[in-house]
Amino acid sequence: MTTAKLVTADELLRMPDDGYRYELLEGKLIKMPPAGYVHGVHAMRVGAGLFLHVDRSGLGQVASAETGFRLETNPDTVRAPDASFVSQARIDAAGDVQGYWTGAPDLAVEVVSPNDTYTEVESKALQWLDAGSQAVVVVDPRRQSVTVYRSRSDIVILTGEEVLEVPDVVPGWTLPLRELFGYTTV
Amino acid sequence: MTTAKLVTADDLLRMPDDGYRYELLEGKLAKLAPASREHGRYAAHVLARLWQHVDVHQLGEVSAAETGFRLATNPDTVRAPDVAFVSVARLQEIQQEAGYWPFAPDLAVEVVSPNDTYTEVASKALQWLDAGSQAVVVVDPRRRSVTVYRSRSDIIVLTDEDVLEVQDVVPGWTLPLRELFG
Repeated sequence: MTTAKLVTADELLRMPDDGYRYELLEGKLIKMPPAGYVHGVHAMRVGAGLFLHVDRSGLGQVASAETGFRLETNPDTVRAPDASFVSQARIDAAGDVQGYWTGAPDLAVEVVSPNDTYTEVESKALQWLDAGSQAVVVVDPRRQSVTVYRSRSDIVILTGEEVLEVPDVVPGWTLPLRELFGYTTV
Repeated sequence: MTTAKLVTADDLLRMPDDGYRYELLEGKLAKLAPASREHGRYAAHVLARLWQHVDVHQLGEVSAAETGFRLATNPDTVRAPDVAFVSVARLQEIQQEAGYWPFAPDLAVEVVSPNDTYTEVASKALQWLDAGSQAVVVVDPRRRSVTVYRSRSDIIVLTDEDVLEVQDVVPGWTLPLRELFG
C-alpha cells in the first residue's frame, strides 16, 4: 500500500501558481475553482464594509479571500475564508507574520455557493470555531439569509430586515441584510 | 407566454406511481430519487427508536419517509420528511384519515445525503418551522452530527457524547448519538 506524502503549510506557500487556489486539510490538498460571480459580489459586499469600519476605528486588520490561516500542524490544515478579521491585540501579540497566519481569525466570513453541500458548509463553520474563531458568518445569497455561529449552542439565522452585527468581536460594525442583499437579482 | 398549470395536493395524491417520489413546492412538482443505503439506515434507526417510545407512551403518531404534509394551499406545498411525529393533541384536530396530513408535524427529522446542498437543507428546516413544527432534527451521518432547529435563534449542534432529545415535543425520548452513529 502506498500512502500519498502529506503536504505541509510551508510547501503549500511555496507551490508554483497554477491558476487554482488550494486549501490544506490534514496534509491533503483541496483544489478550489474560482468562485462564481454572485459569490464574489457578496464576499466583497461584506468584506469592504468590514474593512472600512475596522480600518477607520483601528480595531485590527481585515484580510480578503484566499488568505490562508494555519489551523493545525502535523498534519497541517490551512483554510481560507472569504473574508476575515483579526483583532489588534492579536496582531500585536503575533509580531511579524511570515506566510500564513497561525491560528484562526477572530471573525471568519464564508459565502455559500449553489453547489456547496450542507456537510461542507457546516463542517467548515464549526472548524473555524474549534480553531478559535469567536464568530463565523455564513452568507447564503440564494436564501438572502445570514447565519451567525458563535458556538455549537449559539447559532442564529438572520433574514429580512435584520442587521448583521457581532459587537463583542467587531465593536460598532453593522450590516443591514437589506443592504447586503438589496440589489441581488439571482 | 404559457404558464404550466399548477399541481394541487389532490392531483399529487391521485398521480399514478411512476417509481419516483414527488414533493410539491408552491404547485410545482419536485422529483426525488430514491435515497441511498446510508440515508435509509439512519432514517430507519431514528424511526424505530422514535416509534417505539411514542407507541409505548401513547404520545401520538409517527410517520415513515415519503409521508406527505400539506404546508400551504393555493398554491399547494406538500413536503415529506424522513421521519415525522404528530402529537395526540394535534391528532384530535383532524377528522379524516385519507390523504396528506393537513399541517406540519410537531417534529420533522431529515437525514442529509452527501449531495444535499446547504441552501436546500437549511431552507427545508426553516420551512418546517415556519409551517408550525416545534422542532426539526437534521441528521448528518458523514459529520456524525445532529442539528436541532427550534427557531431561527435556537439552533444547537450535537456531537460525540451528546444525547438527542426534544423533551417538550416528545417527552421522555432520548437518543444518544453514540448509539445512532454506532
